Amino acid sequence: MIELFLSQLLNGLVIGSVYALIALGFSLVFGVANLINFAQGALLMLGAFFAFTLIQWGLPIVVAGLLSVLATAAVGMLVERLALRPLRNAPAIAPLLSTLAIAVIADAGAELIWSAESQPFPSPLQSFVVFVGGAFLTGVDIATFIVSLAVMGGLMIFLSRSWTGRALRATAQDPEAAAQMGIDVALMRQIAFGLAGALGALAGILVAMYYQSVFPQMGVPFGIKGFAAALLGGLASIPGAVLGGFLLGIFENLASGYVGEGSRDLIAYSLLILVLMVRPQGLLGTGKLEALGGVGGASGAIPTTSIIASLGGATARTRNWVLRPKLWMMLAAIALAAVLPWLGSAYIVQVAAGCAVFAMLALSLTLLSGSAGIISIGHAALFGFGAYLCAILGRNHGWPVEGILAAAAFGTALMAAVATLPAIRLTGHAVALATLAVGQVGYLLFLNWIELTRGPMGIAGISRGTLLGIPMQPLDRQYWLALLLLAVCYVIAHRLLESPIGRSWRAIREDRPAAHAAGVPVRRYLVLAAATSGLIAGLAGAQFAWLQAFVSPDSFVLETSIVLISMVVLGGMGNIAGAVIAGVLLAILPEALRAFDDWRMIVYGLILLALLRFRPQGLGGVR
Amino acid sequence: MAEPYLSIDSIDVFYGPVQALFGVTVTVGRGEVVAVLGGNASGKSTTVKAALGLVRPRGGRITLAGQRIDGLDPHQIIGRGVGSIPEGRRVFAEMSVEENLRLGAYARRGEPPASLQADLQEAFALFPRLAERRRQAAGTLSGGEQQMLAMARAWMRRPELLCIDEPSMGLSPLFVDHVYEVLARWKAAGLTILMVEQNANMALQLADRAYVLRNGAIVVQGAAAELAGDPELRKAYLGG
Amino acid sequence: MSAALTQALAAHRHPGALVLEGVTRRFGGLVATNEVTFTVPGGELLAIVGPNGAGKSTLVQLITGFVRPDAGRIRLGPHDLTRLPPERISALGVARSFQTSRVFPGLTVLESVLVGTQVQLIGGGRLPRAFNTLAETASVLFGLPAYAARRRLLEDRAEATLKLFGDRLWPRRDAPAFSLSYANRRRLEIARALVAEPDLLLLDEPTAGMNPTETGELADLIAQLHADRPALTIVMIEHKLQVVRQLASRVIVMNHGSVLVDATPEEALADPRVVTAYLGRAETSHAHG
Repeated sequence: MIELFLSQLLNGLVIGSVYALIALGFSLVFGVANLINFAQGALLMLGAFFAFTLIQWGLPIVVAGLLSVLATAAVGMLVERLALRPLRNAPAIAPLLSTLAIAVIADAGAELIWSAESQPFPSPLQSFVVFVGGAFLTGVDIATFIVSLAVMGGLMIFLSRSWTGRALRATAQDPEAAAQMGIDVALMRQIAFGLAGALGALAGILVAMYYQSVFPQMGVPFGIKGFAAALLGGLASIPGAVLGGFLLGIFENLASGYVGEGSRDLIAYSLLILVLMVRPQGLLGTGKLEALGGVGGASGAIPTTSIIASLGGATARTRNWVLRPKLWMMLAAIALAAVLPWLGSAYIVQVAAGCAVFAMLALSLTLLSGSAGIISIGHAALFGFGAYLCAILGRNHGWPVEGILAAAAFGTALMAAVATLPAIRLTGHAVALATLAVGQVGYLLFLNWIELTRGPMGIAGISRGTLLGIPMQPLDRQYWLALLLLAVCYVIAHRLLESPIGRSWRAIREDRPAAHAAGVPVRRYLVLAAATSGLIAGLAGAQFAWLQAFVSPDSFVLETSIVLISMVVLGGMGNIAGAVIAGVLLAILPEALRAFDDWRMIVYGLILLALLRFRPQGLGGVR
Repeated sequence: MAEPYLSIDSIDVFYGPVQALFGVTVTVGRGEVVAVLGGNASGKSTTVKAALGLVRPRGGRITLAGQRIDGLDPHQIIGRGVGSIPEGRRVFAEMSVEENLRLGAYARRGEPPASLQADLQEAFALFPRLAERRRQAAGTLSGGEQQMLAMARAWMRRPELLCIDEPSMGLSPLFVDHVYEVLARWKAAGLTILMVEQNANMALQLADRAYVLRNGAIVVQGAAAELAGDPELRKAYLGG
Repeated sequence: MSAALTQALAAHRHPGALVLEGVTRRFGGLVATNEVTFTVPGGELLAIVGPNGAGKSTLVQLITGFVRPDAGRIRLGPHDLTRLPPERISALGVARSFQTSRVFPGLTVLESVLVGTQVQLIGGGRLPRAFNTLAETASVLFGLPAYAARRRLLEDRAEATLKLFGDRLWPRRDAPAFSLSYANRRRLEIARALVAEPDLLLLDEPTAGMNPTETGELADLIAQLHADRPALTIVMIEHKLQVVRQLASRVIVMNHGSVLVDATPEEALADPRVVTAYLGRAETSHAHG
């Protein structure tokens, strides 16, 4: 028994030291640039692949590693140039989504360059083994631990002793005061990104050695673990990042040792959510003295908490034209789409039905993220929840279609209300992080709760049943049902948005303190926004399950959530008509790009990046 | 008259659509102490922020030692020999007193470490309270001690021109006296100072000349000794 | 119908005294308010003045629940506000403006004001609960009449409130709030506070950034309001002393987080301690050196 404990503890220390490296990258960037860098995982993955390629070219692993660290540091600086610098005056959400877009492009690009398959990474010290009590450590473990500690120590000395290190910390604490010491704040931001790249690359190489493999998807899980560690310690705290990394590594290894390997990630993300709920400032973090006020207030810019408004205040806010069609126009357009089965082939109807599902999803997310301002990067989990409800209730329990629709709608609404609770007290970028974690928990449950979901195999043979006595097997009828659901959901969204409820959502988004002061029960309206969003996402999920006759976790991955948030930005945040149009457009896109399927996510990433840069208000305009 | 060391020449400053300064002109000669006075929201802080490059004037020009500095970034202006004691002290709360002081000398990082070390000792001699607390995090100091730290930190820049924004704000009378004692010593040593102050009586004792701002425009200016009795001054503060 | 509703909305006003007892709040080493004690009887117009950093705005933050006191109690009539969150305090009839004038930039002028009527629409606080979440959602989705009637009534009230400001706000009702001038944003914020029919109105520097004409206009409006609603208690932080003289029946001067003087405007503004607090200390009057 003690052997297991000791072994998991040692493993935890080793992997924890890698998490600490990733967390340090986050903390540096968050502190200095006030941005959660979603591309951190991608930097890790790129670092591993750069080293992999250099080793293939015949360089010794140490040289390859060093070159990779330098190259990835340069990529990190490039991320700052693309995602942060041009967007200083853009809406607050733009830099965050830009790093997300860059991550998507990097991941998909790596699949193109190095193939999506896992490839063996040389791990020269693996055969060297040391026994510690009843547990054993490999040479890789020892090397990982030593290299991590050395780098952390070096970083600490750099930050506390060197001029640049002190300047970095000063910029993190108070950029305006730092500027008055003669510190070039913009340069410090770039250096922070460069360091984040270097740390990411190093972590990536160590991870690749540890697991003896590299693969393009490795960035996401390790990126999120790094977040979790940074957050656990306190996002802007450097010692906190190290402590968080070790704690997460140990905790997760003990959990996988005692509960089972499948629970490893699940427990890591659950821990992240728990920390966000209980102590959002982290273990070593401190709340800022915002209450003193007056600092930003005297500057004369219009105060706002809106993620959509730009830092530049009123002058930079774009509101030339907003698409706001009358309700009957949208309903007429949907009715018009109903004639498609008489015009097109089964393939076209299938695509169109998919478009209707994604239009519903975009509609659902634009209520939550656009209108109420809760940026969600985990919406695919709600979509999946509806789909699995449909599959399980229909296939295993023989529920009728009517019952499934009701269950998918209200069950997902309830689920969404509960799942959004961790995010409600949070503001700014932490919301995106919380929803990301919730989304990943959903995905991992779909993947690992095998008794219920059949895991990666998925559930096949979902029957379409009969609705009000009408057999729903034919595709045309499924398509009409999808259109009907879309129309109903659109009416619900429209009525709510044009009512005092929608007004309260937007007021909370625009200025949460002012909404509190005006007596708006903020929590009530945010829960309602989440529930409404969940209701629509659940219906979309059920419809999706019937259309595909098959559900598996692959449909509800992080990429799906990113595609959904892209739709919302493309449509214009909070603009329901825009969301429907963007949903249709981005759902057609992969069909149009069928020949270049590998490029699909790159195209999404580029669209998102270009939109944020050149038309942040989207096609339909922000509502 | 010799060209002033700092010349702020009829600048207009806007915050978004709101105009904060209307053609404000302030000059500071070498070795001179100039106070910018006024009530709340009169634009006095904005004036010094413009000199430091923290806000960009839309019209007018600012020169330092004959060279234009409007449009430069704060770090470039600090690099030209300017030191700043920001409004509200703005010490780096999580860093130690000593680290704060070392950051004050950031613009002098090219100089030999020995001279910086000597200046650090001198700063501690100037503010013995800080020497006692050199390893303590700056955020744990009292408000008055933080003001001392902000002053010592700016002194570590060894500036030619020192900009001070409301040194007495929120301080108890004892600390206000202390702050002004130190400033008087620096003045005697020949330091050029541009200060923004709400505490008009204290500022006028120290300054050679003063400007009084009201609603973003200068309403009175002149020698400090003459201004002290000017009814416009009282009007600017008590709103007439 | 409408008359009954109006009565229902008006019947629950019970103006009481605002009482602060030993309210202390520290930020790090700084004591923002130090054992502040005073009582504002219902219907009084009190002005709080004092130099920067004296703790005036912190006092407003404390009363409205945005900052919690380290020690002391805050009561309004029968209600203890000390530990309540901001929206509960607001629902009990406390409305405020912010020093930085917080409007909802992306909402229209009319919508911004209507946000201030939300509590009256759904009930709670001073009013009996009327629509819980489900009832409100159902009312909106199916257009139920009770909710709609109440909504119309409050829209009328919002219109009347905007028209209090002459042609400054009403003609711009459909413009986004961010497009307003600085002075108009301050007016809009006050309109949002007034539309809630508060028992206690806290104004944090309402005339900051206004020119003399605009200042005079707003002061007249507040005077009118004070006359029209004798039960409304108004606490305003104000630096323009002519405004204080015109409006306030009582002045509290704060300095270093404490109450320095509590008197009538004439007495308070003539008090040498006040002149000193504003213009600053100098041991030997105006002598040099």
